[in-house]
Amino acid sequence: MSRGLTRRGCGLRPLLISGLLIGVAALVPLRVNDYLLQVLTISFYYVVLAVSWNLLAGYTGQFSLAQQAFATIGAYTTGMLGHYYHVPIAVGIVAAGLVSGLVGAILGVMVLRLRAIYLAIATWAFAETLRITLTAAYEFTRGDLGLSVPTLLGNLDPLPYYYIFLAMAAASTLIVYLVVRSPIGFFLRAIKDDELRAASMGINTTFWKVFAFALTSVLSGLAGAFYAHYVAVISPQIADFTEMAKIIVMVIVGGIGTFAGPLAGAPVVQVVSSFLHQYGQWSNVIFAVLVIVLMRTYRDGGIALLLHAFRLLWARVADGRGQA
Amino acid sequence: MLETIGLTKRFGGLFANTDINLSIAEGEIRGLIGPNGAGKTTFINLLTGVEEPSSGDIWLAGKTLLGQVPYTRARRGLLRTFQVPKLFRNMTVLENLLIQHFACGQGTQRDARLRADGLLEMAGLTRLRDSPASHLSGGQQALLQLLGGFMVERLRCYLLDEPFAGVNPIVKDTMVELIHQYNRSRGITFLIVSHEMSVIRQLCSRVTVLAEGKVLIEGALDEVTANAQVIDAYLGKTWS
Repeated sequence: MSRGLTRRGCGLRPLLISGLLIGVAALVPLRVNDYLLQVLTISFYYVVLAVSWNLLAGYTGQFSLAQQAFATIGAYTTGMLGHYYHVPIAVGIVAAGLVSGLVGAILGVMVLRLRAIYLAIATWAFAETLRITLTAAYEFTRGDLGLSVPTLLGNLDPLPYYYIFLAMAAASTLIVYLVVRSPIGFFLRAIKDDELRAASMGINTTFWKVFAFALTSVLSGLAGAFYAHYVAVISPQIADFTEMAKIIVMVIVGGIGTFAGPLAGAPVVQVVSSFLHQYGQWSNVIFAVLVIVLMRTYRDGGIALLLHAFRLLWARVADGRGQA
Repeated sequence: MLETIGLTKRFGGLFANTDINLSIAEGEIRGLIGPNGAGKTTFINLLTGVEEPSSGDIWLAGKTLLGQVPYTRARRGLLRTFQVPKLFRNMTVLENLLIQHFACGQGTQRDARLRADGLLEMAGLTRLRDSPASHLSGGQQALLQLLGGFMVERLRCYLLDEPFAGVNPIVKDTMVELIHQYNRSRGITFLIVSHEMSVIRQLCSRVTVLAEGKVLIEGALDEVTANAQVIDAYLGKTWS
């Protein structure tokens, strides 16, 4: 059932593909308008969430539905610290990472004994509770009115933000890559495959499961903090379940079977959905259909599909040359 | 090396293991036999900490294992294999060995790779080194699972749960050879659960017979198989 989810998790190829994608992304601003640049900037925020979630769900088998909640915790940590205590932005961002990581570790401990669907339900409930709490405690959080947050650079020139967010996405991807390649990556994959066997061979499964929760929460919390200082107004909407659904769509479209998948899936989905925005809720329906079609026909996702097509094409070209 | 004192496990009203006293000397290869449902796997689960005993105690090399979780028991040198080979199917053959080193091995990763290559060579699996473990046959999986424990230098006592079930004679010979070799060269203690009397005869000077959760008899294989109670346990009372 878990065919190939982590099969190509460890070679050098994923790093090359990721590097190539980031290289292309670095050149994009030369060709596109400001609107698209902003859409892509936001998409790098989703890259961090998608890459984190891939580590937690794809590699460790902890099918959490709370990735967006940790970004929200990060966003509100730095937002409230700045709003009420006028804490410098840098301090707020560091605090966001720490608070998210701590809450992530606590949630990790609480769901230790839950498996599969039960873990999904528990984490979903956590995310919903957070969203409702932020809405209800509007005296402090300003609820749906939105909490205004100072911008990172004090202006709204899109280009610097684009590169900051790209660097953030690249750094997160590199961190996750190094973890996956290290012995820790072996432990996480082992936990997903067979926890009992992992424990009986001497792996502290409890520790590494909590570690996976904490690390992915730190990354998401930091991304949330940067996001808050970019969009300047945050609301409980960022903890909504549709955000989590979007992350899952991004990972699946990019390819849950590939390390670089989330890196490509997030910008594609974000750009397409920004164009579909004029049709309102219909964009969700279109993505739902796309996910169903991909899962039925090509489970390795879009990146793998493209690579596969490229390889076929290359083989044909090489073949043609051979005959000529 | 390994000793249990009055080890008992109750599941509700069912006594899966009752008052088991077993003492295995360092460097011994002990066989554990008994009809299906005798409580052999429960016993292994108690030893490795998958289940906590209802009462009794377990000692490994002079220290109690009670209250220790499975992974700390593994680090004390107590490893096991499973009746149905549990490999990490998404990892290659080599990675399945390396992970055991990462989990509780000592020395550098380079040493571990050399050791893994040596083990694969001995087992005749070198050709499959970089294939996914899911491509192995049932027998090869059992063999690879056995090799895992030998990656760890601190291994002292190796519990093998039905290691030869469904394994072809050639692979079986390889496994017997490996067990002999590691027993002799490194003094590793083995407890082998098996129904394969011919292999037990080759490997074990002493066997313990378990029936209905209790130790029925202990002794040389030929001695215990001649015992009327053992024949009863296996074949039912009407036969004797």
